[in-house]
Amino acid sequence: MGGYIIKRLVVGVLVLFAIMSISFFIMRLAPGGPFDEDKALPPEVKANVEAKFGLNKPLYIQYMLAMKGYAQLDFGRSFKEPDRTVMTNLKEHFPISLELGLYAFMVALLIGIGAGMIAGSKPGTARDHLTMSGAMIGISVPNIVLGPILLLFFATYLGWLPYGKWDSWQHKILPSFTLGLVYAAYFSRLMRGGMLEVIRTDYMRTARAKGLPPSLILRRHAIRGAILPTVTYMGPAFASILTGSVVVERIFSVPGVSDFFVKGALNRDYPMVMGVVVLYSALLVFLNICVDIAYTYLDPRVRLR
Amino acid sequence: MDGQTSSLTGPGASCGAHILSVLCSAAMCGRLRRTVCLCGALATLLWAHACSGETRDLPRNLLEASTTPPAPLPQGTDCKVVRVKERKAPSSNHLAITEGSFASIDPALVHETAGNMVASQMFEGLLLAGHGNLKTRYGHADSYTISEDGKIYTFHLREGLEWSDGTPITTDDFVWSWRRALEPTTAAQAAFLFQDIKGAMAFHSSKGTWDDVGIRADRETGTLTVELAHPAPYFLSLVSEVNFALAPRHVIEAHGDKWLKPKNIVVNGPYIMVVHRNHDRVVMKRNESYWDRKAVRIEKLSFFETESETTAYQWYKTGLVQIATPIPNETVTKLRSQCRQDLILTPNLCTYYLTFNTGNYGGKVNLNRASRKTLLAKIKGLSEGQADAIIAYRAENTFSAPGELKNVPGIDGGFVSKVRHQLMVKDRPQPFQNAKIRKAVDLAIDKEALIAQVLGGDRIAATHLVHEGFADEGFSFAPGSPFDPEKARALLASAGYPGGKGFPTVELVYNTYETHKVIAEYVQRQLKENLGIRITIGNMEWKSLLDKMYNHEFYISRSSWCVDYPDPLSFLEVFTSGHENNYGSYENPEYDRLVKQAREETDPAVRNQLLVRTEEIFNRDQPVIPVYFYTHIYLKHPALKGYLPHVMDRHLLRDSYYESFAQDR
Repeated sequence: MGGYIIKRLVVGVLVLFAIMSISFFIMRLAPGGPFDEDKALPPEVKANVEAKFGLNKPLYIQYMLAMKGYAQLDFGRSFKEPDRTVMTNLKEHFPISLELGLYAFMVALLIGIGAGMIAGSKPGTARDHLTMSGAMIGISVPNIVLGPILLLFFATYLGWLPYGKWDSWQHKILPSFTLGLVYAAYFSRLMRGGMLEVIRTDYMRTARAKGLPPSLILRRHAIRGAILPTVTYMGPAFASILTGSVVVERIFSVPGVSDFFVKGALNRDYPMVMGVVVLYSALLVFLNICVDIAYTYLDPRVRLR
Repeated sequence: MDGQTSSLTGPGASCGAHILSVLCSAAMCGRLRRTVCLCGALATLLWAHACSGETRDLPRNLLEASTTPPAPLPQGTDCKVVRVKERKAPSSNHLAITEGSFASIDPALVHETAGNMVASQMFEGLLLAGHGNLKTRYGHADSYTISEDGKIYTFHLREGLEWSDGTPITTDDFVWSWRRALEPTTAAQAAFLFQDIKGAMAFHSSKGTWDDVGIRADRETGTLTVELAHPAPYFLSLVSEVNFALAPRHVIEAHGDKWLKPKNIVVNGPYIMVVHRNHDRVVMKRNESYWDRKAVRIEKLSFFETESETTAYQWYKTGLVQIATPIPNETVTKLRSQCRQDLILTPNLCTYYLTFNTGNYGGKVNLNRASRKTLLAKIKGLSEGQADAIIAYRAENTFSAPGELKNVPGIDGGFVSKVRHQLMVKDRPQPFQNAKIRKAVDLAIDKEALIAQVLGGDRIAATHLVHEGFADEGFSFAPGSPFDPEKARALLASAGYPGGKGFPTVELVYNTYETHKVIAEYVQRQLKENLGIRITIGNMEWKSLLDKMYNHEFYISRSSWCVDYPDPLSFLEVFTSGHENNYGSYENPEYDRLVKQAREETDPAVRNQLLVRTEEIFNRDQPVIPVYFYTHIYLKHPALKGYLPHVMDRHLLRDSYYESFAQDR
């Protein structure tokens, strides 16, 4: 087990290295430079700015210097915000994205598991069809559509919730729902599938034959078996919630980390983009390792080699 | 608003990054549900496309303002008053406004509108920006004198000035702050604002020493003397810019980069920052050691950051902010049709135009046709002898590929491979090298109709370059020619394309943004209807467009210009030969001469005449199609007073107050 983890970690670091190298060169392939503005800077000013950020050096030296920095967790300075380092930006803004991700994840789990159980316990009935249609809509409506609709309804018409920002709990409701609902829909379908399988098993029939009340059967016997596929999917879902919050953060003016990714790319702010790429990649690598390890506990048939 | 300085999306780097994120999630999802892993990344990708080109056209280097508050533009002529709920008077002496995201609020490093707005509430220089006009006011200076020849400015510092931590302020602080702004290692993008000062740019480019820069302080008399390289009547406006404000030496030396954190910051202006949540908000309170503290009436300021126009409007509507800008176009149209008095529309010193490429596509040199002078000017590192050799070679041969340059005696292959990208052998069709055609195209576009019928009427149609918001300054302009399709057709015919026959198909490029698209389509239709010529239109992501423009790889391109200092020269100097922003490679020696002359002239009346003559030449040569003059549009709470429109969008919030709290101090 310990050996396996070490092996995975080493591979993970190699993957990160590859990602960083590829990103480094891909970013520089894009036309236009970080200090190209519609008002072109006078040559002497531009020369100073480029010298400050080492952009006047040959590309391979820039690459080596950058890699040396990354090895020491130093991502350098953001081109756009010269008095902030990339690390400061990540440290200040990632916790907000993480918080949003956690709430969205909880929304997804609670609604998803609930809906899946409702639908799966009485398959083929009206309530099954209704819940699953809801889930289908949840999967099909992208959050770029859902977010503004929720805002329009709850913030503009009803005035119950504030329009954007990330201060009190009221601010956090709409973004968390918007981000979480798609995954709730996925979870509900998985949960329903799990329920359908479990409900037909012999031990369920036995439980019913024993005369146990249906609610107890559901709680004690059905859920345990039915939830396995959902648990499997929790890791990847959490990872993609965390890395997929760009749109939601934009719509709700949440000062999370993903805006740096998008704006960094647009501004050709190479160090900033690299910082977020590394953060997200490391997160994905880490969560995937966690999921694979968790498998061995959940399903004895999976063996690690 | 429509588009330049901030940022845009498109197929360039952003997509590179997105595709990368897709790839890495796929790679790392391993045997797990690949599709699901992809979906987050895909959503991002989709969104990037959906949002591509969302940008704002905030002028980047606004300096200062006009003399009298610019007259508000007329409301929509047929507006109907709709009763709206009376806005509640604010319950506290607190002003909140929306702000775009800013890169830095360090006075030396500020270089865009949002940062300027935030920093100028905290840091003050010798002079203050005018209150609703372009007349500067005294700040840390209490008087100044200007020498006869207009080159030496002497400022006298107020007595008893101090930083918010009680440290006294002296003239040495100014010298230190200005030097910091100019120091090559500071690498301030706004350093060019100092370029009129003698020796400043030499120092900035490490070619001169600080001793040669025309900035002197006399601590005894409390005076600061600035010597300019040439007379610059707009210099006082520059001095009132936040880039000329003081930075606290003792704090910067103690805390380094962290000096702008609320716990470290020390200021000399009316407000001091107490909260700064990056990309979210800035909160300030009154600075009780500010020299003019009695005049500062609002107790607390909040700047809420958003990039979304809809959000800004909703925050205003729900009372979170008292000033909101920018507002979505359709909301502006709606509010104007309701005669809303809290919607303010004022001129903003920026001009929107379409640039013609008047030079060769890609700025290349035609080896078969270029004159000796052009060869020498355009090919880097070409010696006179080599130029002669090319001319001699050409007499007997014709170049059929740029690589053949190495056949010329005295030119080696290494040199050719270095300059190859600057060369061409066959002309691309360059219709816009001909001024008659440029003129014809300009005359064939009805800009009045474009503004009034297509763009909702909240801008000012333009026939020439220099923004008419300068009228209040005593400056005059040379109006261009109005829409005249008859004359346009005649001109085009005389240029050899009667009825547009045989005119090459050229492209108009713009950065992805709805308003630019509407304008491009309009121009395309007008040229087809009025001249019979077909153009194609193409959009691209902002930095990609800039790349094309820098390399002169376009025929017509959307552009705009905002003044760096409140003077028509700030528009006109852009089109002098070799100016870094002269993307269309417009060249006219007469024009260059007049600009130079206007720069040296000290008599305002003569100078004004020179500027008008310069613009007349510009109109005759028509290197751009002027489209409209910008306006600044914002919503302002009716109870808030003293927030006056300013043609360069400069606002010192120390001037604002609520009537209900007027007796506060």
